[in-house]
Amino acid sequence: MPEAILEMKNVTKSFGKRRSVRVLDHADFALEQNRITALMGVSGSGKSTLARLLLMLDTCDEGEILYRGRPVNMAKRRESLAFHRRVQYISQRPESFFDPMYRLRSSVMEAARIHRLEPAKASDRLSQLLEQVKINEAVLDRYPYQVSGGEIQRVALCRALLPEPDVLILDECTSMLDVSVQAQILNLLRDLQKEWNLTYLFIAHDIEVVRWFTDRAVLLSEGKIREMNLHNADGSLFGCG
Amino acid sequence: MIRYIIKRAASAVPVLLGISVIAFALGLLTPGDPARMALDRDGMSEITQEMLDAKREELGLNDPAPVQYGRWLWRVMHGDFGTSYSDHVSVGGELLRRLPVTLQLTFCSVLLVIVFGISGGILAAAHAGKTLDNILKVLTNLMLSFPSFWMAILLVIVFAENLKILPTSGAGSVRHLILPSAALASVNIAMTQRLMRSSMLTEFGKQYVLVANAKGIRRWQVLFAHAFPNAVIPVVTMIGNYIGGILGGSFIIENVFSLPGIGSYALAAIHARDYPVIQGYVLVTGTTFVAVSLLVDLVCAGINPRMRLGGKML
Repeated sequence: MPEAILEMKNVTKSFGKRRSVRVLDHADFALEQNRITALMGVSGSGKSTLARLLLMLDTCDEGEILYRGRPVNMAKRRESLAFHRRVQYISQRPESFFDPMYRLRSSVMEAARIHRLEPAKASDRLSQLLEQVKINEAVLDRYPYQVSGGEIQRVALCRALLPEPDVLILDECTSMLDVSVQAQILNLLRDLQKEWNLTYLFIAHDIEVVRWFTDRAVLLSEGKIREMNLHNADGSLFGCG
Repeated sequence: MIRYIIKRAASAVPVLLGISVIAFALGLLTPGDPARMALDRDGMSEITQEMLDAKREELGLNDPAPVQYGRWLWRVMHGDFGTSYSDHVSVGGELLRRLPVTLQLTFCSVLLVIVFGISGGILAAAHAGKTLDNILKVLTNLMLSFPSFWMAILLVIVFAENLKILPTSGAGSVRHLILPSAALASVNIAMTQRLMRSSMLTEFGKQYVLVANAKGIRRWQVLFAHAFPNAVIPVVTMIGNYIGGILGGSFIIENVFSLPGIGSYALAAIHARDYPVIQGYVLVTGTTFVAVSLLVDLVCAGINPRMRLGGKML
């Protein structure tokens, strides 16, 4: 069985007054190393909340998040910084993914500055990544509103891959793109995953995309996470394996 | 950026011309004969028709309105706003003498709004839903509920009458400006704080803030390097409008605190139907407002690349 790189154990998360809305209810979930795991669920089921918890951007009411088998102490700057370097995030809204006040280059290189990557090395890696995602370097001198959704998603990929992460959390990252661009980005993501040995959490709605793109899928429903069988003979959507 | 400045400055010219036309029309359309008023001012006890005709010719009142406007505009551009009907003093000189008081009052009020409004808004947003946010919410509600003249009276009672730490009226030092500027700023501090808070919370909800957090940037850096520059743009615009509001509405506070600014001068002129003064006041406040708007737009363009570049693709 593949090793778990990022996992949540017995996690509970609620919102609202008196924590009446329970999004996760003693949920267990593990992202297996070098695999693409899909997270599915209806709108409002808590997929993005789960992503935020895995990214350590929100705290669990109960339970814990483990990275490579041990909890991350976010109070320790060095530890939290190391975690944020290894676990990166790409969101669903390309138009608001980058700060509109900054040129794309500045936003992309910010990650390198924070994680104290050697400038020359970071620059070389960026050039390599740009070549891989097929983006002209001149695009980085533009502001976010001056480039298309597909270009933004490619730049976002460069931004996420620059600090050499292990895990990418892709929160419906292709849902706002048209079908042809979506296919290009997914192919690119797959190539990058193989080349850099990445682990993906692919949050999505489209079962066909999930079947084609991922190795494994889980379903978040009523606060619980269940394994899905994507290859049921009858093609049923949420058959549990 | 230079192209934007030229474009924006050029767009201000028709507005300034519009203000000048309105100010000129004010003198032209109001009741009373300027020739008679001028002769009265010269101390003529018995004014004959010949004298009136001669004076009209001298003042150019027989010329068509556009010619009169052109001549008036030329004089105004050279600082000659005419003479007050009431005290026979040069309007331009008197406005120039009083303008610094109003500008000092405006500057102090805006400073208070920037310091307390913006910082309060950031604090409230950073502690949204917590005790500090609730305290600030109650405070802003109170500040919004009190009209500025009421706040002025309250401040005088507390700080001048009871505590005796600040003067009740007059001008001449920074101490004289504290109470009037606080009274003038209170409502705007509350409004700015609320706008800043909601603007910051809007930015907190955007993806780029989430991404900045996910990058591992420190919370205060996310706040000041990312959320703040985006959130402050509508606040800067509002403060610009507020400056215009002070220039046009400071007369109440100037009267309460007996400040010799242009507001109190204009109020006295309205009572006395002193049209040259009112014309001068309209021109000065209008022009200052246009200049401030221009400055605000340039500041916003400096902050916001989309505004500077006009949303064009490179």
